[in-house]
Amino acid sequence: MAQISSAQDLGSGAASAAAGPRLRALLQRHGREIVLPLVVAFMILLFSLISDVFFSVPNFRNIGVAAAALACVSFGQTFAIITAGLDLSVGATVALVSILSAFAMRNYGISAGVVAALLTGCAVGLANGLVIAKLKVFPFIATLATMSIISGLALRLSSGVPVTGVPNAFADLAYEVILGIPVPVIIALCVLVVAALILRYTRVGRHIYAIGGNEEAARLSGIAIDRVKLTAYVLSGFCAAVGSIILTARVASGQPSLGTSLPLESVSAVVLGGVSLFGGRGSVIGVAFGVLFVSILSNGLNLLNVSSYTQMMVIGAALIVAVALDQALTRRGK
Amino acid sequence: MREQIAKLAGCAAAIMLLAGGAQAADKVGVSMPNIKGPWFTPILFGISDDAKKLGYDIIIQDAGGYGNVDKQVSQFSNLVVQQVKAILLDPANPDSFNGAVRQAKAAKIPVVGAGSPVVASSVEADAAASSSHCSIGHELAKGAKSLLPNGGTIAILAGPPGAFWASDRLRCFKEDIANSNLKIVAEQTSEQDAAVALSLANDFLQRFPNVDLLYGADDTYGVGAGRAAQGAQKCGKVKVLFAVLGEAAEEIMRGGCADYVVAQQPVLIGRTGVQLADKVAKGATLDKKLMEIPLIPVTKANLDSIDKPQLQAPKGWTP
Repeated sequence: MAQISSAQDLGSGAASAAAGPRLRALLQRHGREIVLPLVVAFMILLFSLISDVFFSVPNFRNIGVAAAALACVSFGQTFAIITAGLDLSVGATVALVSILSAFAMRNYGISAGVVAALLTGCAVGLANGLVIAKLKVFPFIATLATMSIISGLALRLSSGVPVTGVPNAFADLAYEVILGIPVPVIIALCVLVVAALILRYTRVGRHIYAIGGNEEAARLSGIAIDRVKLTAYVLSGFCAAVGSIILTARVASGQPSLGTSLPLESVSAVVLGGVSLFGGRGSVIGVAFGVLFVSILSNGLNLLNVSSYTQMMVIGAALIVAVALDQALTRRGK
Repeated sequence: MREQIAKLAGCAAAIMLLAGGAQAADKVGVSMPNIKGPWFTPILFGISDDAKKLGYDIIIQDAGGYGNVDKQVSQFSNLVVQQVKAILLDPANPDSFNGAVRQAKAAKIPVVGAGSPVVASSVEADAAASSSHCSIGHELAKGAKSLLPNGGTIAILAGPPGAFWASDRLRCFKEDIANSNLKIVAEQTSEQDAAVALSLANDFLQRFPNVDLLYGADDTYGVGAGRAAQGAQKCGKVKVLFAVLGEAAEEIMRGGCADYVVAQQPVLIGRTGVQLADKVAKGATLDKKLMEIPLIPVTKANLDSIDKPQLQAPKGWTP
């Protein structure tokens, strides 16, 4: 019996010796995709053990509703970052869209408000795209500048005060559930599916990856760089508008200061989700896990009564760890 | 290395489990747009102190600023999920809390205004402890008239953009001075930050060197205005008027660079709020749902005679 045991040990030792390099190779190739879902699962387990209310349907609904707007904005941010760009104006876009859609809804009804929201988001994205593609301004500077312009415009149009009078039927959307799933979560899932389809199965999606991977090579292979970048930023603006619709319904008013934390949170979610800041790599599914990470972390820490100042530090530190990990995996992959 | 990581994770989990397991008392939730500064800190001190006496643990949720309405709504929903006994709320914007407060009511969790007479624009609070913001505006107008009996010009540091408390104060202030010989020559909203307020007040003094009075929506703005007057060596010449008497405001008033402060009693507001929450949570009937906490006009003349423990948290206390 003892002999059999040692033979088994030897066998398992050899197997684990063979599994080691295989595991390492797997981690090198798919590390970004594998690590985060595991971390999210670990967080769920940990918070469930610590908090008696974390693992409950009302709390998961809560997390879903809180994450929905961030998810939409982050999916849009993904398009910009995969082109090796960045959209820092997403928070200001959310505020402007909130103000204009609230005005439109108050005066012309919900449909007009939603149309105004989506058009505004696309217009801001188009403006960003034009500044970046045609004026050749770095995305960081371009969107930082448009953030200031758009934020000022939102405050100017609203005179700095919330726009009230949003129809109740619209505000109630944020609290309604269909088949047990909150409406904002359903909207975010729709955006996820559409964004994933665009990136994976359309020509523009492949061109977005190509530009982010190597812009010069993409240009030489005949890709219309400017047009693709414009599309990426319009998609980012559109997704920010959808996020703004969710938030506007949630706060039942147009808010000129809505979404101030979204630039940091969306970039964090995208980078944590495995999208490379240097472009050309990543997926919206990964970003969905990035959003879950940020939202579950925030919810769990809130349930544990951890101060918001500490939470800010934790999210900042998580972003640094994610980028450092990305760098390490990139170096190993070379 | 792997063993060390496993040990560390185990320790972290054990510590967190112990921390979680220790919370046995009933909980009261507190949702604020901000927890720093001379207004929120004393309110939270009052709440914490009386909650302890009543046997509650408190869970404080800080949205991190008036701009983060969506975050405050989410945090409020978190408190509902935690099934706290009651929630004390100062909403960044009452219009945004209708749905969330209805959720709390559906979960049979009473919602009490702490520092705000309302919790949501179309859902009534179960109780509230507050000073009316409009009354503060009226008191500020009285102060302006007493400081400038022969009339004069006013520059307004109006408070954070979008903050209903600041707009309410200013609206009622304007109503009262409308038919007087006091004229507003400048008005700006800005972040609730003493440095930003100082820059803004400096700009006002540059643009209107003969302005007679600087109005601050609260003492963050008031202290900025006072320091700007001090920097321009115009203390006493340019009058400074604002609401809330924190430690910095008191210091600047002693230095002669603040002339009239409408002091609220935030510690008392916090104490009263948590007492009301306790009563409502226990199903007691309240004589009055809205407890209006009196305002105290303060000038250098009566500064030493007012009851500070109801105005300020003990030195060094943090939430």
